[in-house]
Amino acid sequence: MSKKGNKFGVLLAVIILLAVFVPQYQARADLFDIGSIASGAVAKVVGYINTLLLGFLGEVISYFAQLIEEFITLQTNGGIYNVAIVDGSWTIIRNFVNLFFILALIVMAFGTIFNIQRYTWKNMLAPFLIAALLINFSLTIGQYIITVANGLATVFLREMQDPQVGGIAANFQNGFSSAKIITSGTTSISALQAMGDAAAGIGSVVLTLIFSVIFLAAIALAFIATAIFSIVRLFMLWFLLIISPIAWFGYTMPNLRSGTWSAWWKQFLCWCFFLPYFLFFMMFAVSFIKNKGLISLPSTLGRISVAGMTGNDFVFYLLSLIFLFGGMAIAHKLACASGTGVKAVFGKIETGVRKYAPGAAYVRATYTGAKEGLAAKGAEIKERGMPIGFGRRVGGEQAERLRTARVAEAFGMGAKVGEAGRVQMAEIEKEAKRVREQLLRTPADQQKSFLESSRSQKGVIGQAAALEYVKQGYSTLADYQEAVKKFGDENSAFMRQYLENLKQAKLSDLFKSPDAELRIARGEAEETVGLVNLRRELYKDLAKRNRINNTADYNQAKEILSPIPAELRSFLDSVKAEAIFTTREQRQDALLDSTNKIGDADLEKKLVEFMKEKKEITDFRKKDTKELVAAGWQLREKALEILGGKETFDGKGLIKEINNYNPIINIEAEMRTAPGAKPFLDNEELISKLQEELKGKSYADIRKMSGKFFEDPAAQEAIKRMYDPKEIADLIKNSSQEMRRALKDFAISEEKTKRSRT
Amino acid sequence: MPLTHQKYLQYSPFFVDATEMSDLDWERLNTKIDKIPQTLADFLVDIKVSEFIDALAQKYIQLSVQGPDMARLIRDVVIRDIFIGDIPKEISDRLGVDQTLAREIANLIISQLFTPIIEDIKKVQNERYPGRLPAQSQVSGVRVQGSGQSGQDPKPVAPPSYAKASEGTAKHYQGEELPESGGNIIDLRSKS
Repeated sequence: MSKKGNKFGVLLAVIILLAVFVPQYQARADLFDIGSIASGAVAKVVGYINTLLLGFLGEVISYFAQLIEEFITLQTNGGIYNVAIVDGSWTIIRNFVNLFFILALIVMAFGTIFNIQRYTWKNMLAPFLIAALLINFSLTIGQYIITVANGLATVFLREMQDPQVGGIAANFQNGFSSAKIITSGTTSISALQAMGDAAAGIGSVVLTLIFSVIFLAAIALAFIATAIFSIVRLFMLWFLLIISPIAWFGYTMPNLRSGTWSAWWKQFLCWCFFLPYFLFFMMFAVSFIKNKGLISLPSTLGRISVAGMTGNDFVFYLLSLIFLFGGMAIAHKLACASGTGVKAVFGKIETGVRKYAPGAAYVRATYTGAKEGLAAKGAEIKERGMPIGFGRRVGGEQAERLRTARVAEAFGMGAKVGEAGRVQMAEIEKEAKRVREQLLRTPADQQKSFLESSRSQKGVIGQAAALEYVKQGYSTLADYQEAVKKFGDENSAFMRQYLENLKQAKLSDLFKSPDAELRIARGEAEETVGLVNLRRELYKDLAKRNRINNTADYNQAKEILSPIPAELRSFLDSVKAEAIFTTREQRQDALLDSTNKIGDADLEKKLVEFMKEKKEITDFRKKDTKELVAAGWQLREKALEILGGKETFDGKGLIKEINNYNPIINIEAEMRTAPGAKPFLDNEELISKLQEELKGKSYADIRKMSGKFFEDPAAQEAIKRMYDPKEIADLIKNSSQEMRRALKDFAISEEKTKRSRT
Repeated sequence: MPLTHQKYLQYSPFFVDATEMSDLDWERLNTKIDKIPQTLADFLVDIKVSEFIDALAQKYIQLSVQGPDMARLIRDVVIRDIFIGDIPKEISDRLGVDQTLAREIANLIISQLFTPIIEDIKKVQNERYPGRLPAQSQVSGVRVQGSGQSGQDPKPVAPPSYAKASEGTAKHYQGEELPESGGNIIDLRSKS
């Protein structure tokens, strides 16, 4: 703290100590009147200080209020038009700058010849013509804008003037007079003496004085700042008007544009509109001062009195300070006077106020918080546009980007196909990120309602919320239908993403029952007619969950998915033949009658693959009667037909696999289909060929064969012929349960095993 | 002389009744086999079992000992349908031979045929008939002995060296000492 500050602190401490420790007696006239004399003496001291300080501050306020009024009046009533120095200087600059247009033409010519980007005639001609024409009106244009800003300022000024009191300065002088600051007129020496005599005591008098001084000091600083800015503004505007031709010329030259044209407009607009902006806040402050009597808290609170100031006084004091200080801070922000020195001066004034005014720190904190909040809000408005109610927004860079993309697509003549959708999805993704961040900060039980309210907004904000709503698994079928109506058809980029999110969340949850799911996939439900994409996804999902259980669904799914080969492939990869033909008998039956019953090569192949894996290409017998419907070799032939014949890769694979689990099928098929085949199968030949086949196989290979193979009498006979009892015993050891069970008739004598295969 | 296919299948505990069984019975048998250890399942189809039964049938041919009957008996013991201690009684009942001979045959089966798989047999028998078998150490040396006195139930007993220690615990296998005439043990492996 400086020495001055120290002295002031010591003086203040002495006053306060005196106020607190000097015995406070009520006036006792009957007891020599000593208390009255003492308190009267203290009151006199305080009264002198009061007169000195408050009087000084009042004079300062009065002086600067008058100064402000003078300058504001000057700026609004003239001082802009017909100022000789401005007009003359502007003419000189304009004439000088006009010479440079010749140079601009030369630059344009060279830029065109050498095809220098941004300097060709295509880029420069329009700005050139505009600048060449309007440079002659640059003064008028500038003056007009100043008139508009001053017009606004005048509106606020008029609001501040009280016809009964006089102009703005008179208003301030009257409103901020020391007598008006403190309730019950405690500023006069006699009044203070009376207070000293009264129960309130000397402490109250001192505190009242301190508050009054600080408040008036804050007001005085605000007035000083305003006055300085008013003066600076006038000269800055003159200067900017004079150099305006340079700015207009700068518009012609691409590389000079930001340093001249843009910079000039930025400065010019800032200085123009600083005044109305600041006066707007001043207007509120003045309004509080004028209407002090109307500021009233609820009765009890308003009457609470501390140090001679009531609750109402405190509210008045606080509100006035907020607007004065807030106005200063915003003016600071808008000063646009970086580097001019004014900003630095203003910064010091503001710091002083913040340091010495009680409550200013809170005001500052409030302001800083509000500033940050407003900055965030401002950034949001800049990005997303201004909300205008009913979930709608206007403007914003986001909307601009979307508009640009739409126009680009429209005028791109095919070169920009899908541009609008792509940009829209990119914007939605950005919004979705914001939504997710907000969602994380929302309590779990309020997340759904948060998303519901967010998705009701228009544009990408609502769309992003809708997508997140779906991803969280809240969506219903009705929501999907609503989204299709609201956000475009099913093929829009947004709806495709919507469907993608539905899949992620679990598509089946969209439906009340498995039956409802199937009805919608089939297109039987009236409300989902036309929702082809949904049906496609549903069919794919059903296939993954093995819920394509009949050929009708399978064929319909293929039909609906066929326009999109990738999706059809995905469906075919997922669908399972065994989900459609659930039992072995069904599969064997389907294989034999595949041409009529399936009629689909993809499904037939899947069926064959599954049957091959499960060793089901074997004798087809009715489950109950065991009656032979078709022999294994017949199924093999059908399967080979589906796979394109026995010479194809798949055909060879099938034969090899069958050989692994039942070579009799292959041998019999070859014998039956050979040219000149006998009507009855030669059993001996079959057994003999089987022996040949088994020769090359180990016990382990044989043990892997199917139960049907070991059940076959030909197989049993071949084994008996090939192996002695010990070898047979070794073969059966470690056999599978299936093989062991299949050997039930192994002990039947050879004679009985002979059979005729018809 | 090696067995023929027919003999092997006839005397195999696994195949012995297969062709005559209903599908249901066959399934029941296989279900039981599924539940026993693999060594025992393999034992049922082992050629040595058929050979043992063939030798036994030849030895006691004069007594009309039927190979398939023996195969059934062995199968039933292995699949736990018969308690191992009841073998002599079952032999007597099924083959119609006297007790002495039944004990003798039982002794042969246990000491000769079951030796390699005795631990697995004991395990499965214990599961099915808990508490009826003596402690492990005693049973490992079990052989069926006959008293030579008609009318008395044959009881497998532990060898003398174990008899004392097993007293009070090996209830079913404790019995009288085999008579001199009935204590012979046939080593079928030495026969041609």
